[in-house]
Parts: sequence; structure tokens; C-alpha cells
Amino acid sequence: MLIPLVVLSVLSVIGGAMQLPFSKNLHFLEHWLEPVVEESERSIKGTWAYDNKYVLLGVAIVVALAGIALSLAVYAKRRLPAVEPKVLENAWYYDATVARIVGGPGVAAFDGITRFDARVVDGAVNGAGALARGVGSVVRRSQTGFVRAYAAIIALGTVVLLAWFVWRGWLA
Amino acid sequence: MTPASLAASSSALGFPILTALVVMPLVGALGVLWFGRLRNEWTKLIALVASITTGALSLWVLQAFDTSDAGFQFVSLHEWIPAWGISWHLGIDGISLFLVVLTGVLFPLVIAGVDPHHDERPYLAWLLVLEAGVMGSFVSLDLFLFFVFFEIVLVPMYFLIGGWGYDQRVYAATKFFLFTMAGSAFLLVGIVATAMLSRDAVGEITFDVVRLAEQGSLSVDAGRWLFVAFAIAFAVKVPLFPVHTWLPDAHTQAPTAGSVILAGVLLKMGTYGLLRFGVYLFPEASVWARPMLYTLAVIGIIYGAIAATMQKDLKRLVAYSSVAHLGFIVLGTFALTDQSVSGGVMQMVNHGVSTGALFLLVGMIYERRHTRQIAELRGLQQVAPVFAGFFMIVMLSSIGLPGLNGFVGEFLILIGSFDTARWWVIIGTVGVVLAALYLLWAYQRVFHGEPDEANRGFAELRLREGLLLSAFVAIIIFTGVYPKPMLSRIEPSVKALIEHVEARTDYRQPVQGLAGE
Repeated sequence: MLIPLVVLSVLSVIGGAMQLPFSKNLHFLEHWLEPVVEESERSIKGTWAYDNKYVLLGVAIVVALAGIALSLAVYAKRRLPAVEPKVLENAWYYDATVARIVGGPGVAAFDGITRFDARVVDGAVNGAGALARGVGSVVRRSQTGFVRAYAAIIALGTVVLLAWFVWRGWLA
Repeated sequence: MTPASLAASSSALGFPILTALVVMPLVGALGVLWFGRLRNEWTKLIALVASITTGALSLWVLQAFDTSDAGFQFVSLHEWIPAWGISWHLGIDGISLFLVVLTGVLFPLVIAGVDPHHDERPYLAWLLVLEAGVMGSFVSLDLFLFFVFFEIVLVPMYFLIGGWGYDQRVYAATKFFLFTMAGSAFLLVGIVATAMLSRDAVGEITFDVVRLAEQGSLSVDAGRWLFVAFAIAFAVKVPLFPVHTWLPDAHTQAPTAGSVILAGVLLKMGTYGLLRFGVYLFPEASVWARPMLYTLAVIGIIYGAIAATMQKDLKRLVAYSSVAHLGFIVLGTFALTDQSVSGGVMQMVNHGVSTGALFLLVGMIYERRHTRQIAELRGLQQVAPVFAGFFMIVMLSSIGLPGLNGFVGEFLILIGSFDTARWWVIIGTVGVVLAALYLLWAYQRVFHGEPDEANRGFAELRLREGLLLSAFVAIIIFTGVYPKPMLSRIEPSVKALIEHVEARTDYRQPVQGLAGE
């Protein structure tokens, strides 16, 4: 580990020194990602946080002082029992909570969506295919190859069309 | 601008390089069929020469590309069917440049790196026809010509999946074909209607994309209907939810080279189409349709990621991850800011590289173990550490780790879309986390642990495979560390496109940065 650390530390010293005001030509590192981040470098001025910085400053100090007072009460004066060792031992129960949520309802929900994709979305697709095939297998029976049957169907169709025209009065 | 003045304003290049890019693979395909029959050992050599020449031409285009010109370059314009205003009109700008280069580079890599199991001659011929079709789609500036290439692509892909695929190849190939054909029907109607309805504004019937976009003025209703027709065709190709289910089947059943090309460049014909023939031709309708497309894109991001997480087949997992990644690209495309669209264009290329490499890796696993089931793979890291290392780098690039290519594109899309599609971006960002979930979980199950009997014999990466993957990893790292050369070529054309939209609609891109100064 020693050699990588030496290399990294030397490089970081060089990287830092390049930013010193020697020459503008050495400052290319700060423009390295320019097209990516250039236009998104935002000023914080004019934001709520900037306008209320003294309020936030006060809040931070009060919270820090309250923490100091609380720790004095728990450990120096022993007026309050310490609750956090167990919580910290379990790393805030963070891993356990995540594992329970992801492993239980998480997996169930993901499985449900995947099944939805396979059955409903893809089912509709294959259903359309099955429908076309089904309709085809019925309709093809009319294709018997008997010329007289075809002639009869054409004649029937002509009569129906004529009847329709007459009924609508288009031939009058 | 008339076509003549357009041609004059572009680079005065004597040699029709874009035509050569399209014709070269076709010549190669004929060569493979003809000379391969005479001498079997020439087959692969001819295919390699043709695809490497095409790749070299595309790199030459990259090198000669003028970054200060946002318009179309290397334009080649010839009358084809003058009675209908159909012309052989080719040209590229910053949006199509890297897709052309990606196509040029990807094909020789898969031809050199992956061998079919049988019938090498027709396989290589189809692959070269496919390359010509894809190239043609990316350089066409004539709607009719584009449609021809867009359709040509289907045929070789159908035969590649159906002829050289796995168990369910015929089902997958048919599904792929029917889905895309159904979409193409809308596209054809849309193309014809666009030319006809623009006749009065342009003065004659023309299928020329540039003239239609610059001079055409459709009514609001007509523009919207036509945009929907185009968008349906491209949504199938991308694919967007809910017309995505051809993709997991096609990707999984296709031979490795087919999957790499499918993910690498074919899907990009959809996102590229949305940009070139959606936003450029129908600015008003694109602005109007944004909420719908954001929603479909974000559904794709989350839904694709969730479905990927639960897949038991490694190749299907990668296929579903494409649905998620392409969702990001569509989101960036329609967020219509300089950054989001640039990020989208960049991500088209990035996804092609990293997902292409992932399919190669999964293919190599299948070659060795004859299974893609995650449950049957275990502990590969111990027996094949170099293989695992390559897999890790490619996977991290797909996740979007800073320092690798996937990050740059994804970051640009998200930050660029934040002002115009804020809530969709917030939901979409969950997809970044899910990407880490499905890929890392798969990596853990496949590579970690103790290898069992079946996995102990897993062979380490061979030299040829290593060289092939090194090419991908080199692109992944270079783009991730130094994206500037790529973005400086994409950005001028993207800016011009957004200005084109702003000039024709009341949409205004939000002013970026420098708030309150």
C-alpha cells in the first residue's frame, strides 16, 4: 500500500500546486470537464439559504450546543441513560431495515412487475398474434377452391349491394 | 435554401465519402458471396477488409469533421426520382457523426471477434448488408431514402436472428420483424403525407428533410398527427414502453454479434429518428408531445430496471437494461435543452459501447458454459479473474460510474432536463440507483462465491477476446475521462437544432447557470 499512497500524494501535491497563480496555462484541470459542467456551475446567491445564512448559522450553533449539553447530561453527570450504544452497535439498524424492506415487499413488487411484463404486456402482443391466427383458421375455410361456390358468393354479394343501393335511393 | 446552395455551402470535397460508407459494405457482401464461393478461406478476409475499410472511412470523417460548422457536412446530393422530389441526399452533422463512427467501428470488431457456428458465408454477407442499411439510415437526408434504409435493416437482422440464434430464434425473429413492420407502416404513411402536405409551402413535392424542415409549414393539427405517426415507428425501434417486448426476445435469441449490433446501433435508429425526423421536422408537435414522451421515457427507465433486476437469464437482464438506458436518452432528447440533448446523443454512443461489450461478455460466458442462467453460474472471479475484471469495468460503465463514459452522458441528461422536466427527472434518477442494483446483484451472483464443479473449468479470457474487449474498454475510459472532443463536435449541431425549435415555436430554453449574479 505504501507505494500507491506515495504516488497518489505526490500527484495531489502537483495537482494542487498547478492551481497556484503561476501561470494561467497550468490551470487546465479546472476546465477539464468544461462542456459537462460549465453551464451548470450555479451561483448560490439569491437562494433562500444564502439570504437566511445568519438564521442557519444560529440553528447550527444551537444544535451543536444542545448536543454538548446532552452528552454532558448522559456521560458526565449520568442523569440520563445512554440509549445509543445498542443502536450504534447495529449501525442504526440501517442495513437490517433496508434488507427487510427490499427483501420482503421489494422483491414481491419487482416480481409482480416482471410478471406483469411477461403476462399482460407480452401477453397482449402474443394475443394479437393468436387472434390473427384464429381468425385466419376460420376464414380460410371459405376458400374451398370450388368455382361454383365462389360464383354463388359473388352473385349473392351483387344482389346485396344492389338491394342496398336501391334502398338508399342511389339508383333512382 | 435550395438544395444546390446547400451542397455548395458544405465542404468542397471531391470524393463522395458518405456514399462510399454505404456502398463499401454492400460491395463486401457481394464479394463474400461471390469470391467466398470460389475460395472458402477468403470469405472472412473479404468481410474484414470491407468492414475495416468502412471503419477507416468513418474515422477519416471524424477527423475531417469541421467543429465550427453546425450544419450538414460531406453532403452528397443527386437526383434519383425527380418526378417525386426524391433524391440521393446524404450528409452528417454532430448528431449523426458519432453514430456513423460507432457503426463503422462496431462492425469490424464483431466480425473479427465473434465467429458464427455454421454457414459463415451467408452470415457475413447479411452482417455487411446490415452495416450498409444502418449507415444509410444515419446519413440519409431524404425521407424516402431513409425509409428504404430503415426497412433494409430489418431483412438481414431477421435472418441473423432466425438463422444463427438460439432455441426460440424463429419466434423472436418473427416478433422483431412484425413489431418493426407495424411501426414502419405508420412511418411510411407519415413520410408520404409530410411530403404531400408540405407541397404548397415548399413549392413542389420533395422528400428532402432539410427543405421540409426549413421551408415547410404544416398546420398545427397536421404536424401533430404526422409527428405521432413518426413517433410510433421510432418508439417501437427505441423501444419505449409498452412496445418494448420484442427486445428481450430478440436480444436473447440473437447470436452474439446480432445482439451487439442490435443494442449498439439498431436501437439508436429509433432515438436518432426521434431527434432528426421528430424534433427537426415537427418542432411544434415535439414541444406539444413532451409530457407524454417524458412519461413513457421515465416508465421505461424504472420499469426496464425493475424487470432487469428479476431476470434469471443474464442476457435478458442486459436486454431489459437497454429499455432503461434508452429511456434516459428519450428523456434527454425531449427535454430540449443544449445539455440534455447533447447528453442524449452522447448516451446513444455510450450505450452502444457498454451494452455491446456486455453482450460480448455474456456471449463468452455462454460459449464456455452453454447456459445463461444466473443460478447456474457461480464464483467465476476465482477461476477467471481477468475476465471478471473486464466484466467489472464494462458493468460499471453501464451503471454510470464517474470516470467512465456512461456517467458523462447520464449526468448531462439529468442536469439538462432538470429545468424543463423536473419531476420526471427526479423519478428517473431512481433508475440510476436501480441500475446499480440489478448489475451489481448479477455480478455478485455470477462472479462471487466458491465455484462449483461445473464452473471450476471456466476458461480464462483468451488473447483474441481480450484484444476485442480492450478496444471497448479503451473507448469507455477515454470518453469517461476526457469527453471534451466528443461534446465539442456534438454541441454546435444540438444548439442549432434547439434554435430551430425556438424559431418556430414559443418554446424557450431556460437560461442556464449564473443565477443571481
